[in-house]
Formats: sequence, structure tokens, C-alpha cells
Amino acid sequence: MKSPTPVIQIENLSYAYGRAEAVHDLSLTVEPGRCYGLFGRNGAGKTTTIKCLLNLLRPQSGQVRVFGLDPAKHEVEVKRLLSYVPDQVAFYPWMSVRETLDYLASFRAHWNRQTEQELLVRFQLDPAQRTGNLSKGQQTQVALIAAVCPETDLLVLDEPTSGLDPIVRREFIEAVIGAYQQGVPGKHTILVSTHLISEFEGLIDEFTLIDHGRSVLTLDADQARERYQKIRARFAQSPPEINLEAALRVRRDGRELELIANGSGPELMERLREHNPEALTTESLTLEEIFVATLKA
Amino acid sequence: MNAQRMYKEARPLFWPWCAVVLAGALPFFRPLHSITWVSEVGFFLGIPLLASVAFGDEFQHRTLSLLLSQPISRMEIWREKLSITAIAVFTAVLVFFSSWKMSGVHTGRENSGYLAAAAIVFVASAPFWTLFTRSIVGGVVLTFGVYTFIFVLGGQVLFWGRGYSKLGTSTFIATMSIVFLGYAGLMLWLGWRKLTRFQATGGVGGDDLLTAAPGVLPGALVGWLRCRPTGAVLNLFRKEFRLLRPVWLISLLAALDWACLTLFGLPYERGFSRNFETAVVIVGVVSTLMIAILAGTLSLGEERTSGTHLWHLTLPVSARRQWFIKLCMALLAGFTGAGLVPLLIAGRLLDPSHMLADVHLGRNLLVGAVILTFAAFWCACAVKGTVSAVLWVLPVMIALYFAVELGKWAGPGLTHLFFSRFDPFANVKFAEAVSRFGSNAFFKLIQAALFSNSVQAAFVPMIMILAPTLLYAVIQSYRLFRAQLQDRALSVVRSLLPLAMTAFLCSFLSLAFYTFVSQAAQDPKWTALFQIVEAIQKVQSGVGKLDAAHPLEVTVEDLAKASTVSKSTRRLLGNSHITLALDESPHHGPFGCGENPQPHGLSPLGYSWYSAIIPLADGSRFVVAFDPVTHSVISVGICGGQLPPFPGRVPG
Repeated sequence: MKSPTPVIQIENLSYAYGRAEAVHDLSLTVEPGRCYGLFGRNGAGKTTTIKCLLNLLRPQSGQVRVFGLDPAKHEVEVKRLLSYVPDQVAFYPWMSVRETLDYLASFRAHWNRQTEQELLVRFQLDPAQRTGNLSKGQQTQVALIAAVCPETDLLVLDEPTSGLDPIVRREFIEAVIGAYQQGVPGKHTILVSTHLISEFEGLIDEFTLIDHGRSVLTLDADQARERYQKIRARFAQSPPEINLEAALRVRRDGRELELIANGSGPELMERLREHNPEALTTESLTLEEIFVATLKA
Repeated sequence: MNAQRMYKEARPLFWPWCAVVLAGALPFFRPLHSITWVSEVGFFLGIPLLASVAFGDEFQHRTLSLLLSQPISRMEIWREKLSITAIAVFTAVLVFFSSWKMSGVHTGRENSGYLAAAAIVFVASAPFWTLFTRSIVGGVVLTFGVYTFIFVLGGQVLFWGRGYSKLGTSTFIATMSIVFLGYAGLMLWLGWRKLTRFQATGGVGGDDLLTAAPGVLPGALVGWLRCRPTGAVLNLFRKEFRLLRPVWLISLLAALDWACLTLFGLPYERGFSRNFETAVVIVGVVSTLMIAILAGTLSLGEERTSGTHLWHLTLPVSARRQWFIKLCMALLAGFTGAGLVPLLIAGRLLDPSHMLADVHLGRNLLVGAVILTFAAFWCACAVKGTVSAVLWVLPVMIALYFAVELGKWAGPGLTHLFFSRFDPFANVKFAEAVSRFGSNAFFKLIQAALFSNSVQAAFVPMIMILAPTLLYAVIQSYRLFRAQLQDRALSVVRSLLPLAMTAFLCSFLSLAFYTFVSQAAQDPKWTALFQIVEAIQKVQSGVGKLDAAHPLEVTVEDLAKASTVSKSTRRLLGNSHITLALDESPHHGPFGCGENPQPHGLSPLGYSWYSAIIPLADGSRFVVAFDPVTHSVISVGICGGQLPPFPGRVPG
């Protein structure tokens, strides 16, 4: 069976601002219906990658394809198929929320008015209020509504939860993104760039960790949780000298030993058992812990 | 005062100050005398800008709240900002006054006093208007606008009250200066009050009064301008129209100013000094330029500053279409506000003898408004933010001006050098073929651009010659529109260089073409004469070698050793010998032919020169008189033949 065209395909992408290299030889593929995370620290190259996808930047080497199309050659076609929430949301201050949404709707072939109304109520936004008077979080809410209502096949979110209060953040992730993905299962794809990984823990299907513009790790989220494990062992006395080179990180705290394992969990468990610990437990790492462990390693 | 804080205040002022001083220093340079009006405009646009930057920069970068939250009193902030503004403004004013004095523009104590009063008004009122509008652009517009309004209205009230004939220029200027100083004092107090009571009420979307102010438009217009859920292109036009709201507002104010003057009648019509009229024209020109520059820069500049530009590029409308709509709307605003409206009113207002009422005024004003608006639009595409774009307009225009002038100088120069090395027109058929281009429309266009009787008449042909530059600038503006800009001067210079190169090539190639064709059409006798004269000047080192009794004879070969002598010149000369003789006696006949007994006008009695008698193969002869010291030509004539028309329009 022929595999469907990837929603996003990036091959050996490089981009530099003058001498400062923002993205170097980055490759990733996002399949339809997935929620893909692009994780990295501030300045890691996440926004530059997204800008190349949106044809806001032209790749200096490598290539990007969105729905199999080159964003530079098929600019409008590509943008018709996606909606985008930038890291810094800006609207015309003289426009009201209603007018802003109408203005944005005019560019789209389809706009779900019901979803718009529901989200306005959920976010407690007054449609008559001018966007110039909205707080940063409220402006992000308007941008999220504008991104979800066209029900495009791809939703690109660049640091979408920055500036949102915890309640709205939860609302957004659970309700908005969930509803969007479930709208047409297997068709709606999300690319989310963030360093606040814990918020998207349950949603992410696959992710790429970027550091200094280079891809450090690309994994399926479930595989990652299987592979990255935290092992805790407590001994009767101070922990013995054991060869733990296979561990990603080792932390000793009195009688306790804490290891982060990257695929070498069973082997490390076996070694620890040989020294008869009082207690030996293992648990999967969260994506945020994987992020921290990988970048620190 | 804290040195670190003073440095922080001085930094944003530095580049605007440089641009303003550059405008002020223009009259210092003799070759730029034709554009000294830029200096006058630079005063009325640049000084309000300098005076607005101190507070406006805080609004532009949204740092005023941060500054006000620091543990220093607002009085201290006010004092520091005002001090640095005053230093910047008065050093710039000094440059303006010095250059004007040197070049004879605005001399006289009255004018200087009046302009100094204007500078004080700008410094005193700009902080209030900037704090009021919460933007640099708003500050500049209202500082200049209100000043103009007081000037026009106050002037008219004075004329009415005292009677046109009784009010002298000096009385008028003195009275207006006092009015302005009173206004300056009031605005200084209001500005201080505004700062002490300032509240950071704006949201993150911006608190600029000009772009975010509550609507003052009629309901029907607001309804039409409101964006709809359908009709994306129309919505883009509506959005542009509203982004350009400050431009419409300034256009309206400028139109009111002009209309007010029309209503009251111009002072010169009542026999009043023309100084006032000049001032009125300056006010009109400045407001016109302000409208054109803002029309080009405001929309994109504000979008780039707020971040909405980038966001727009992700919408499913091609960047080309967005750019095109933005460009069209900018040009429309510039054309209407800076060209059409002043033209319609100026037609009623101006004395028919005034330079602006020239037959070419209308056409030039409209074309000029569009060109300037486009130049401003290009700058807005090349840099981030309205203020930066406005500041770049003047340097960009000056750079292009120099590129064009360089081309105008190099084109004929290099062509003549080519002629002296090679002799392309030795072949008569080739010369004839090339000379046919003399009736070509492009040739006539260049002729109109170069040799029209007035700058006004030459303006549009010159623009047409530079059409490739404009075309390139249009393409470049689209590329820059969609580019992610790095906020550095070097990147602007990098974009400007190819544009300046294109401008240079346009003028260079046009002039080279013109010279080439002119030379082909030129009679060979003149070409021969020029070559012989050049050779004689090189051969003849001085009069000392010549003896009146024993003339010196040189052959064509002797001349050819000193300078280039073409084949056609050799043909004209044949084997003749050229006689060089010192001549101290009163010279009879216009060119020494003896046909006219009257002495030649250029050769007074007792004046010594040496003459060259150049026999031609057809039996006629050239007679050329040279100055014995400088070897420059005193007179030229032909005996026994007909001298062809002098090719006086060959450049170089």
C-alpha cells in the first residue's frame, strides 16, 4: 500500500542569519493526523524552521515540502492548507475582536462560525472589544480562534501557550487542540513548537528535539517513554561502586541512587539487582524529563 | 544628570540628527545649489522630528512604562530628555543657519529671528504632542501642523486687524515671533504636566493615538471601512485605507491651511512683502512632502513595527498581491494628498508669475508626489519601522541624485575619450547611419531632459530616462517586502547599491548615446576644428617662440604627433601648412580675412594674441585667435567658405 504524502517533509534544512547559524542540516517528517512537537530551548531554531515552512524565510540549503508542495513555488496553495499562530501575536488595534475574526475569515474558503462562537464564550471574549485593549493572553486567544475556525489540515503553533493563564492554557490544550484533532480523525495534523513540553505531554505523538539548530533526537512519544526510564534503587548502606556508564545520568543521594536510562534500562536494572538493593523501582520519563536529560547529557 | 542616562537619551537621536544635519549642510556644497530647497524642507521636517524622538522613541519601543517605573523623579526624566533634545536641535539649527548664510538663503536678521523662534516652538511643543499622540509620527505631524495653523491663522488675523498696507514685514515677523514664544512657553508647561500625569493605559496592541484613536469618521464611512467575512481583497484595501488614516488627516489639515489662505487672499495680492509668500510656500511644500513621505512609509512601517506584517504573510493571499495593494494605496494617498489636493487649491491661490505656477507645475507636482511616495515606500520595504524609513528617504534620494549626476558627467566624458582614441565617424556612411538616431524619440527625450529651458520642463523627461531605475526599484521593493529584515544600516546600503548603479547606468548610457549620436550628426568641419585647436594648444607652448615677422608653419603630421587627428580631419586639411603668427596690431576683419574693416569685438585694440591660419583642401581657411598666456580660444572664423551651425548642445 502506498504511504500517504507526509504533511511536512524537511530535508537537510539549513538557515543562518549572517554568520549566526540558526538551523543546521535539519530533517524531519510529519505524517498526517499526528501531533508533532518541535522542542528546544530558546534560540534553538524552532521559529526559524517554522518560518521556512511558511515561506517567511527561504531555506539556504536543503528543502521543505508541505503536503508535498514547495512553499516558495506554491505559496498560496500551501497557506490555504494551514493556519498559524505566531509566537508574538499582533492585530490592528483599531479593529474589534469581531472585525478581526471577520477580516481573517474573508481569506478562508471555510470558517466554522459555531466553533468561533463556542470559543468566544469559552474564553470569555467580548466581540465588541477592540484588540488594542486586549491583554497579551487575550490576543493569543483571538489568534487561536482564528487558527482553529478555518479547520485547515495543518495547524502550526509557535509557542502557543505563552501569555495564557493556567486555566485558559488547559482549556486550550484539552478543548481546542483536542477538538481540532478529533474533528476529522487522521486528517488534521498539528505542529507545535514549544519549550513548555509538560503542557502538551498527552497530546504529542512524535517529537524532535532541536539544540543549536541541530536535530538531537527524533522519536515517537510512546517509544520515547519506553526507552527513557528513571531507575531508583535504595540500599541498606551507601550505594556500592557499580559500573553505570550505560546510564544517561546518575545521581547519588545518601543511600539512594537515581539513574536515567536511554534504552539500557533492563541492563542497568540487572546490575543493580546484583547488589541486593532494599528497593528497586522504575518509571517512564515524561517528555519534559527526556528533553532535560537529553540536552543536559 | 546621570551620564549613562544622557548617553541613552542621545543614542536614538544620533542618526536622525545626522540626517537633519546632512539636509542642513547641503547648501555648503556648491554643486548642490540647485537642491538647496531640500535644506529648507529639512529644517521644517527635521527639527520637529528631532524634538519628538526623545519621547517618541520610548513609545516606539514601548519602554516608557519601564522608564517611569525606575527610581527617579519624572522631573529628572523631563529635564534629561529636554536637555539632550535642545542640544541636538540647536546644533542642527547652527548648521542650517551657517550654510544658509554662506549660500545666501534666508539671510537677514528678521528671517533668522523668525526661524530661531520656529526652532524654539518645535522643541517646546514636540514633547507635549508626542506624549499626547503617543508616537513619533503623531508628534511630528501635530508639532508642525499646529505651528502651521498658528502661522497661517495668526498671520491672517494680523493682516486683517492692522490692514495689509500698514503691516510691514519686520512688524509682522516680530509679532509672530512673540506669539510663537508665548505658545512655546505654554506648550512647555503642558508637556511637563502631561508627563507628570502620564498613565500607561495602552494595551499590548499599541496605544498610538493616530492609529488606535476612537473613530471620528462619519458612521456611513465607518460602516463601509469595516472588514467583512467575505471579499479578502476588498478587506485588504479597507485595512490599508485605515492604516493610512494619519495621512488622510494631515492631507485634510494641509488642505484647510491652503483653503484658509485662499479664503483670506494672499498678502502679496495686497502689495505685501514677498517674504511672507515664500514662507507660505515653504509651509505648503513641507506639508506636501510630509504627506508623500508618510503615505509611502506609514502603512508598512507600522505593520513591521507591530508584527502584523509577518502575520499577514502567512495568510492565504499571495505576498505579491498584498505588496501590490499596499503600493497602490500608498501611491494613491501620495498622489491625492501631496499632488492633487495642493494642485487644485494652488491653482486658485498662486500668483501666475510665481515659479510654482509654471505650466509644468501640475504635471511635475503629480509625478513628483508619486515618485517621492514610491521612494518612501522603497525605504519602508528596506527598513523596519516608520521612523527609520522616513529617516532613510533623504539619504536614499541624495545617493541616487549623485549616481545620476556621476553618470551625466561620465557619459559624455568617456564618449569624447573614445572619439579621441578612435575615429568611428571616419566612415561617412556609418556616421550618417548613426546620425539618423537624431530624429529618434529617445534622443529627443534626452535632449528635453538636458537642454530644456527650465528644471520644471526637464523633470518629467529625466524621470522617463530613469524609468529602468524605477522598474528595478519596484521589483526590489517586492523582494524587500517579503524579506525578513535585519535592522542594520549596512543591509539598506546593500540594497541601495544596485539601485544607485542602475541609476548611474541609465544616465551614463543615455548621455553616452546622446553624445555619440550628436557627434555623428556634427559637421566634420567642427570636429576637425576641435581636433586642430586641441593639437595647436599642445604644440604651442607659449608666445615667446613666435615672432611677428617670422610666422611658424606646422604640418598635419606635426599636429598628429601632439594630439589625435582623425582621418576625416586629415582629408579636410589635405597637405596644407598651418601658420601660427604673433599678432599685436589691431586686427581687421572679424576673423582676419580683411573683408570687414571693423575690429573684432573680442579683440580690443592693443591686445596681443597669436593666430592660426588653417587652410582647408576646399580652398577655404579657418582663422583661430588664441590667448598667448592661457592658450584658450578667443575667436574662430572661416574665410572663403560657410561655417556650419555650431554644435553647441554637445555635452561635455
